[in-house]
Amino acid sequence: MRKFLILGAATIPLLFGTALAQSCTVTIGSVMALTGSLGVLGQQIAKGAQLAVADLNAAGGVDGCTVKLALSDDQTQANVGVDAAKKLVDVQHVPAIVGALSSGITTAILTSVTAPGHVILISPASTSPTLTQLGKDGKTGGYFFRTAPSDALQGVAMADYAYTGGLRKVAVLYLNNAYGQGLSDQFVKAFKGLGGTVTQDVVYNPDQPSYRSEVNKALGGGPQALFLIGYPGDGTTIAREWVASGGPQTWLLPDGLESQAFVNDVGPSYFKKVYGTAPGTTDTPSLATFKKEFQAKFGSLPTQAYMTNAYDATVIVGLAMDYAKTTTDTAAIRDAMRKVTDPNGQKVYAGANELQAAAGLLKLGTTLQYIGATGPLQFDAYGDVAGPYVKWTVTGGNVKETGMITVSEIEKVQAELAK
Amino acid sequence: MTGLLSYLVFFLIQALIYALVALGLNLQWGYTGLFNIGVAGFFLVGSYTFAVLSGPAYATHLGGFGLPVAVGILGAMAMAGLIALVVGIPTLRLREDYLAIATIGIAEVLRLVALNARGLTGGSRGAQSIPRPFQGLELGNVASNLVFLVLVAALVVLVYLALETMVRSPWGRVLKAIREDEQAASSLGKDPFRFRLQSFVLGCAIMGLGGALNASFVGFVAPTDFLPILTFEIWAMLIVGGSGNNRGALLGSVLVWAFWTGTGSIAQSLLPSGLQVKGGALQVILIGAVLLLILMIRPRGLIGEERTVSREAELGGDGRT
Repeated sequence: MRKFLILGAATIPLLFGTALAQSCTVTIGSVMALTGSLGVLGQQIAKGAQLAVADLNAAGGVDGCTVKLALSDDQTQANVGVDAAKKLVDVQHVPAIVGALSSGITTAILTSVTAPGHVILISPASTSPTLTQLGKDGKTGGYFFRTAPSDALQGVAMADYAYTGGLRKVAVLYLNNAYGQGLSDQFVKAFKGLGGTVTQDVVYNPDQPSYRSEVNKALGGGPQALFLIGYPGDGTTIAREWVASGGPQTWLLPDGLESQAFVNDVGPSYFKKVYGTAPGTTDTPSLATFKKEFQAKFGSLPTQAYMTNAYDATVIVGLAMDYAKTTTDTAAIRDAMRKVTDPNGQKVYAGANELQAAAGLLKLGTTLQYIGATGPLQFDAYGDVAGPYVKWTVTGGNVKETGMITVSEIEKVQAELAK
Repeated sequence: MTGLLSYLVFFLIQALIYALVALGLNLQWGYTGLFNIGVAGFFLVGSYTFAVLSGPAYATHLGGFGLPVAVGILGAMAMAGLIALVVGIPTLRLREDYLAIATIGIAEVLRLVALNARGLTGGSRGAQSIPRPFQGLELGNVASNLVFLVLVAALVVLVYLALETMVRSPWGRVLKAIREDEQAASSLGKDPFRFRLQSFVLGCAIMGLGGALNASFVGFVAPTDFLPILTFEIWAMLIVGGSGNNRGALLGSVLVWAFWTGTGSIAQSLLPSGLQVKGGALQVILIGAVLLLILMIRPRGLIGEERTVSREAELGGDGRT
């Protein structure tokens, strides 16, 4: 009995030994909209980042350290977001920040905190082309990345889809915000470049009781179809008034209106022909793993965008730190970001098990290609990613996804337009 | 420089920029009794004017004058003052609540102009790459912030001293008279409208100065930076600090900005990791609670308005010359 006890006592230091191996902590910062106009979406998107941190820790941590996520709220306001980011960088010494969501806040953080401070900023949801422009102007030092494709791409994808579908005269009604202005600009440019005509390009402000005057203006010139950019709510009002004014029931609809509720509210019989696009993900095992793990950890999986993008952004930062074998040298981590998303690298997927395998490969210095929950990501020179788009339509009153517009197709169209 | 110190420099720059705006508002509300809820609008005018005058050439909108930062700042103040003049002439005859509603409308109109006039402001995409002063010297991050802090602090001192001199002058006394009893003031031959207009234009020019400095500090402006919540923040700073007192405006700005941002860290440290996504909500609760607490303890603000007593009464005179 005593020998047994002594043996037992002798193993205790071993247990402490293995526990002590994880005695360091690395903090990854995150600035997201947890309150304010994007708050409802932001809270779920933040959970995507939290899941990633949990998976990284289950895989043994990063560079021998436990990962902690320091989540700060920007209240959907630039001044609060900038201050929170500065605090993360200066006081908590984070090497990277996942955020923000609103493009205006991401740009403000980039120009005033992370670019001058040489800290990596990776945004899961900011789609403004301004961020690409800052990269081209040399203002980011290569420290900016994002896992959401720029608005510039969906406009091109939609123009191509509509033109090859036979449409030549389209009217555009767009919401007066960054999303609407950006998408409509890109579509108009691309559609005209392909040889089509945009008969009217009309802006509308949100939360109005009626859009009769905008609809009447958009009907001028006899369009074959309407490209309606916005969200359900105002989108429903405009669609009904378009139909009531005798507008053609051929629709071009973006991701904001990919909603069964929207179709039902307007009336499924009025959607004779729909050309729909939305940012898509190439079907990979990572998405299924993400959905399963998210549901298990948080209890429910809401249908909304950008949670997968936040997961991927956080995982890539973790993998890059592991590859560069440092949690403080931000220049090395920045360079490693492309080494873990290399198209020639060894493929690894999302989820705790896959990341454990990835950790083993990284110890040997292997270049990886992380296939994320949003698909294989590859950063271009300015930190942008190209993503495929999903084609969707309304058949028999139901929203149905019908195919993909691949990255190479979009690039082909862009090359044609550049000529 | 240690991280905490570097953050404090950054924090103080933003707090002092808001202090400038609060000083402008104090002149309008604290001394003249003008209920201006359009602060964000004039802040916007200052920011965008600076971006257009001193920013680089923009592919999509007006810009490219490349004027020196000092000229840009003066231009921003002038434009804010000009718009205040144009807006003030029809609206300053309105009393209190009506002026408040009119100024809310003005701020929203200015924001919608910024959002829609894409050839002028870049629309929702905003204007980027706005320069810092001494950009050409290629100072490092820490040095650039330090230099900026010195600049903003100097401007705050300048504006504070100028305003203190002005409110202790006969002009300042007329403002207070108009605030207290407009009919009495006009019966003594003072034209209340003229004085209110002067105070309004001057206050808005100072707000424009704050806007220009903010644009230079962040380097990027977008219409979403000028929502009504900004006006609320400045008003909270003035009320908490003590309206009618310039030192109160300064103190209130630093304090309110400190707990507006500090509650974020408190919320982050209080919540367990499972509830971290609710940190933002807790922060907003704490901000409200602190504001409430301060106003319950000191309803007139932390530093109340100084009682000004006429010199004759102080000297114990009995009115005989």
